[in-house]
Amino acid sequence: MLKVAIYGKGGIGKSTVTSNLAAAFAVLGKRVIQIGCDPKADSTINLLGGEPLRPVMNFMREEDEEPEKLEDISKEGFGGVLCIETGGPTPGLGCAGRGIIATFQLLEDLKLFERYKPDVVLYDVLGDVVCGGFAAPIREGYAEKVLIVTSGEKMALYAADNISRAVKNFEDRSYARVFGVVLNHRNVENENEKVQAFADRSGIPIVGEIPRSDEIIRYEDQGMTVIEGDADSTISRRFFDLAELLLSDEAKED
Amino acid sequence: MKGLRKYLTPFAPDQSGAVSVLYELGGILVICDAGGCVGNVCGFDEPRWFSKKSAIFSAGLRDMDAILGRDDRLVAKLSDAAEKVEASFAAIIGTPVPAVIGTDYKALGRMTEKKTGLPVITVDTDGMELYDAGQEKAYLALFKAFAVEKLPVEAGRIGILGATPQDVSDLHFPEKIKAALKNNACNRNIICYGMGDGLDAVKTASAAEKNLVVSPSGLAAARYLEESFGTPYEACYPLAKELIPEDGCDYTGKKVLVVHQQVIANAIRDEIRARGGAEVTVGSWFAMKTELKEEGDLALKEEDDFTELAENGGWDVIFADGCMARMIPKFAGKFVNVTHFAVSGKLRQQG
Repeated sequence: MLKVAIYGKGGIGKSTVTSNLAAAFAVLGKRVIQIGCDPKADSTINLLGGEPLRPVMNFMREEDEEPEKLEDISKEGFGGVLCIETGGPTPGLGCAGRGIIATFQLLEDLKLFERYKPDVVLYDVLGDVVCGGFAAPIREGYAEKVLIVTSGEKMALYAADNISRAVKNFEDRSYARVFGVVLNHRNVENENEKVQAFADRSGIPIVGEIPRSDEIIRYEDQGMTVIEGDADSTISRRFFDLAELLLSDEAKED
Repeated sequence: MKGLRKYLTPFAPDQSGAVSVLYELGGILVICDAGGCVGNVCGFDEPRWFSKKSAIFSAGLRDMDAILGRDDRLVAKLSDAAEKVEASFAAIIGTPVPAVIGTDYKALGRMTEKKTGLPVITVDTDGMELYDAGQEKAYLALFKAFAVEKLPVEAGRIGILGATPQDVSDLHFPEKIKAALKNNACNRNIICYGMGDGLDAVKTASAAEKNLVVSPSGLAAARYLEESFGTPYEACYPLAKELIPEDGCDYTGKKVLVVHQQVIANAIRDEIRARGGAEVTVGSWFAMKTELKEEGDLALKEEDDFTELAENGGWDVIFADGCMARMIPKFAGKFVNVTHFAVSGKLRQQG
């Protein structure tokens, strides 16, 4: 089973990359689960025709009990991708990190992996590894590979560096390792050089490159990924390439 | 080994101290916990639990309450309790869980006041400090909330601050201190805040001529009352004589170590000095306030530190809680038991 966590600065395009990757895996015939680990709960919206999913935390808050079945907190989207959102507390209250840990425990209790038998699991995680809860997706038993999404913008690279350091700090805990950087272009001056310099400095390869594209925005406005909108487009090809690279790396490890 | 306890049981945490201050005041006391902290208060830390009623509640926090920060549920529970229990105020007392999720106690207090119509005080204890830190916070919150009116000073009215079973180790302390102070004809009205006297006494605290602070935890509130109303205060323990056995012991030229809460220890020191003791050092497992400290006084942390100090310090006499005697088998001098509930969980035997 290929399990990948996607990290990066807030607003850098993690959910876009994650859901397009999920859609690409699905088109390649894989059974996919995408778990949004962000209190905003908008990771999977473009796999669901723009219709948001009821997040786990909302279920708990509204029903005041744990869900009894997976169907209560998940929905199949494009290509059969099983979508789940942890959600979180009302902004400014409670503990979102603990919410992620509680959701993962719940998914274990509901035997998500045993019952759904996915080939690929993608965790789309909030901007930074701010506390133990947001590191939960890369703990043993969850994601084994980390993708860091960045542009050439200074703050995006700064966040990428923080994330890669955090992951390296966890090396002796058998947490996930960084698989590579996904360069999501913002058309910053010398963007390739800047991101390449970061990649060289931190010893992390650039494994994917997504050009700036109105196509992505256009399809997202319609509540879909670019893979769903036009699987043959050059942008879609980039996501397929990244998906295939991840699959071939996984096959090598097996 | 650091942190290893072989003899002493864990000391009461700050939330227990806060409850101790508020216990007798007729409020609804809500400990913001899952249940264990209330268990500690009622099971171990509050000896009055067996003889005096108090409306202590647990917020009954569950995992999802912490995750979702459901303050509204606590407000609803408290409001429900307020309908069933006659109370003059409510207090919300913090523990580790709300501390970790950054609960806004002031907001919680305001929401509860609005819903119940009761005055609400909040104490932001976090379970990481010892009882005396919680007592200090609770005294301050209590007097800041209720002692707000400047009243004419009543001649002979003396306030006692810092008296809790944890610190005075004697449930008869209020009667004893009142009897002792009334020996002086000028002291006509002795108020023992939180032990014997209720919320009305707190509300009229500005009428006191003077405050006596019998444990370090009462100092901050005494300072507040001095700054707000000009009430002078003095840290002293007028019952120190009864803690020193009348066994004819000659303290002249003796080297003495006193381990207790700082105010009682200082009072014993003064008494021994008056009886000729040459060198008296004070130590405590709890707060050592700079303003009450003399050079050479010690804050104790590790059991081993105490054993080393007691056995190799050349002391002739050690005053400490009886449970500490077995920590120092090689000590050849005289050991005097001065019960300290906060150390041993035992109250003073009535003689």
